[in-house]
Amino acid sequence: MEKSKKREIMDIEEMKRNWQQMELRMDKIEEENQKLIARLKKNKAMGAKQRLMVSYFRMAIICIVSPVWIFLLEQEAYVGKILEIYYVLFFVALSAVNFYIWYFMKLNDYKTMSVKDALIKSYEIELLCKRGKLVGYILGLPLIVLLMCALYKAGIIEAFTGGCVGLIIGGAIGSIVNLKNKKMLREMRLALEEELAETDDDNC
Amino acid sequence: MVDKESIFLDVIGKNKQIIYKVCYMYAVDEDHLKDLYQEILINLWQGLDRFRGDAQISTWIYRMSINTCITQYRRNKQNVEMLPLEMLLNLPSEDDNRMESIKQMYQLINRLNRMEKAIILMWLDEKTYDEIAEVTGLSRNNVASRLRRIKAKLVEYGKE
Repeated sequence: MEKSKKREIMDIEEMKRNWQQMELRMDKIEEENQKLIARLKKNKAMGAKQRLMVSYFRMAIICIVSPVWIFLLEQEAYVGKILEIYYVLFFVALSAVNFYIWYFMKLNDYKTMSVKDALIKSYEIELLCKRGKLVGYILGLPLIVLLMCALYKAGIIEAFTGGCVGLIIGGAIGSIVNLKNKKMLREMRLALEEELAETDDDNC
Repeated sequence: MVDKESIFLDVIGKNKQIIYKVCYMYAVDEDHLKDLYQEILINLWQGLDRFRGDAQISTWIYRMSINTCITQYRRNKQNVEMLPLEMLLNLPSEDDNRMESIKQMYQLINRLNRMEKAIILMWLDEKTYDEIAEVTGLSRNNVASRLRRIKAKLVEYGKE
């Protein structure tokens, strides 16, 4: 028993020695350092988090300008004041959600956080994004149905077709952005769940 | 006056083994490893201006590197195989025993979760409990108890 225990300790210590003596080389990466530094100096290189932030910021801006479309449509077909207000409010809400996510990400700088805090904040960001998406779906689906009905009733085939095309293009862009973000965020969450659970256990 | 680029290159040059080892510990394949390395470099560059020197530079690099790796999404999660270790190690080809031992060690550590990896990583590099606690945000006692559990886990995995 004692011998076995000694052997186990030795293994861990041996592991430690091996690790300390281990020299990793990544020649190709070294060569790429200079290129990366040149891009960093020109502020052209972006990290993954920054790319995600840019994507949310872009969505927020698109949502802000989107209500313009309903006023352009008004010249072709009147869809009703209530629907117009609903449409504007929907995009304002969506824009606010995207801005809030962007701001939350901006506030949380992983560079200055502890590992534990970085894990927790990443998890919070994912939850926030999911909630934002839920708000989008809850408000968006009735709006689309009502809008298409209004266009159909107006009997202007061009406006209805325009609405359908807009719906398809908007849906496609939204889906692509959502899928990309969802993938990024899912990866984050998977990495976090078990660590967070254990951290909580220890704190109890 | 020394410019940012020189300081950066100096910091990277002196601590590249830390960055490599952290990337190595969290990467699932060579492409992922390169992505992580690049991401860490970007974060170090951006964070360099704010480094005030309150902590040791190596501790700061550990924090940045680990945080980058744990919050980074994986592009290809299906591939959880080991890295082509031999290609990255600076070992004479005849040193087969050591290579085998390092391979085994990497395989054992790779089964730990990300927080555990962060802790064992720093312990392997002889960081003190206080330094590990500072980087991870856990208490010193928590670090000690976790380390005990991690070591027991590694021994257990080794027996399997």
